Amino acid sequence: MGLVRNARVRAAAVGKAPARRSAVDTQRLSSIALHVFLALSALAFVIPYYWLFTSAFKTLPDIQRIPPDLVPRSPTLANFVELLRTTQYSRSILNSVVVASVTTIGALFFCSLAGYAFAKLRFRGRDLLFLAMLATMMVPTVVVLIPNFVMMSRMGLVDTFWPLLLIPVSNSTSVAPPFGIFWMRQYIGSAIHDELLEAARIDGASEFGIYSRIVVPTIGPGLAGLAIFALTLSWNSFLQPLVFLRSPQNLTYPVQLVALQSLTWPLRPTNLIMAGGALSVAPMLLLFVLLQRHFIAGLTAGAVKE
Amino acid sequence: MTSFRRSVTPYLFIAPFYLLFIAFGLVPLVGSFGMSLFAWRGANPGNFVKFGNYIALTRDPAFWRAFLNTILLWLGTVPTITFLGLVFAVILNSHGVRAKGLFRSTFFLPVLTSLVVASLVFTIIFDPRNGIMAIVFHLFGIPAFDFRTSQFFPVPLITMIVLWRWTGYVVVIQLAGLQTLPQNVLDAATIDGAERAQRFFRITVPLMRPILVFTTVLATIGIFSIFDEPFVLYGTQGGPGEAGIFLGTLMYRNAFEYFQLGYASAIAYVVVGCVFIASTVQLRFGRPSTQ
Repeated sequence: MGLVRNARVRAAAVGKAPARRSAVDTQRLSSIALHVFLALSALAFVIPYYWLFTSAFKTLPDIQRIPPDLVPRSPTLANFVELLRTTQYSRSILNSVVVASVTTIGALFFCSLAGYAFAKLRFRGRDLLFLAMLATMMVPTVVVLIPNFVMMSRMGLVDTFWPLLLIPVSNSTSVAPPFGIFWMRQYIGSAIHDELLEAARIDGASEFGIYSRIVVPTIGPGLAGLAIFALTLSWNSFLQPLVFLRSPQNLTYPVQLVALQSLTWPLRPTNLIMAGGALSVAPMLLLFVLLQRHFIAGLTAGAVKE
Repeated sequence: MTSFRRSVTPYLFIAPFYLLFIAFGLVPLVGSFGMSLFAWRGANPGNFVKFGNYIALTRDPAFWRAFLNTILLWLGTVPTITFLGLVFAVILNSHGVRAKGLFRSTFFLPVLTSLVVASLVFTIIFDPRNGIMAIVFHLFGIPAFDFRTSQFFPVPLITMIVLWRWTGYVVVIQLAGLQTLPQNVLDAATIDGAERAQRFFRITVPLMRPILVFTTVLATIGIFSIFDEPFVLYGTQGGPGEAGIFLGTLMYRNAFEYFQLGYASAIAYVVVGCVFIASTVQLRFGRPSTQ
């Protein structure tokens, strides 16, 4: 607004009315400007990816070349070979796959079960319990970390995957993330008609029978969104694995990458780190391309329907 | 029997979350506060020091540095990301923009990377000798500086990483929110000849307020407990002059390197306090006005 007014004032000062182009012209011009702006922004979003993937195929001397090559001059797979041969990276990727799979499968079951109860069953204290669960989404992971570390070490669970599966607060990873329950409740609430459930109840089906035979088969898209949400969260999680995992063969890939990074400069294998980063992002990119719609639904679930 | 079963079933269905939360969320949350009142190093029973740890915090320059950095990071990221997100969302929601899906997906791509990988990539992009940004700076005649040794650079660098990693996420949420708004209100404003900017601030922003508040609260929680990026870039010592220390990394250092569990718990509770205050303010601000 201010800009517009300034322009008018300036135009008035020069003694001319602001040039009045035809509406169509102005629209076309602003449309072009808009697309240029979008394209430049998109470029900014893509550059780090481009740099990651091209560096993964450069030799270490090429990565350190001044000025850098925008396109790798002699692309090579040597980094990947060396990374997988000389470090425990393949093991850490495997660990990440195991942890992410267990987290996701657990989240699918526990969240849909609880989401069904919150959406379709009546019981005392339901609304209060639901609100309490929403409130847990505001507890940052760092806050519960120290007591959990003390407890887990007394229970002998440090250096196992258990601490990555059990802590259900806001941005931690667990088999029952509160956000997932929220999302399933919203989804089941709108996707399933009460009459269907009533009919099954009259036929004498148990609630678990209704859940497994009627609810689960009809909420496929919701489950897909939830799976992607849980998978992304777990796959990219760093703080919990860093605190709770110890032995080199138990680490997940982000901790392994940071271990490589912690070697000081002349020894730091930047080429291997970039190859490892590219390897870790590639499966997510592939999933994104295949399941784009669910991806965006899964990660933004519940944000809008309050 | 059956009616008993019917009345218990819902509780069984929701039980897993609450059992886990009580054991690994609520007990630690309360325990964390309890621990913050003790000078405790893990092994022997600690001394009860009342608010001694909190008082010690106020005299710890590292704490003030971490607190200041966290607040600066909040100021640099949360308003920016909310505004940028809304601008992109409004553009992508307007008529006559081509390849909307493609742009939306492109903005969303960074959300797929782990924060660790994002931070590692930014270290080479900002490498003072041959990073792309060094070249861009050179083009503009700005002297290259080393993000590892510059005391000014940590907060802006982490701000950039956060903006890169999360803007697309905010765009997608806000785009979903925009699509639930009554399009006829926006169209009516156009017919009235409301200027683009005027329309944005007078109509779109107020209508979007609940969603803007939601994303702001989410971002606030994330920023006050930020850990991955500063840990990867500046470690637990925060680099030269502790310019890269944040509340999350300071807590980690005291807990898992110095084993001052009571002191570290006090830092954790400062994070809780900040999140609580900031969220309350934002939620109040976000209440629909009574006009």
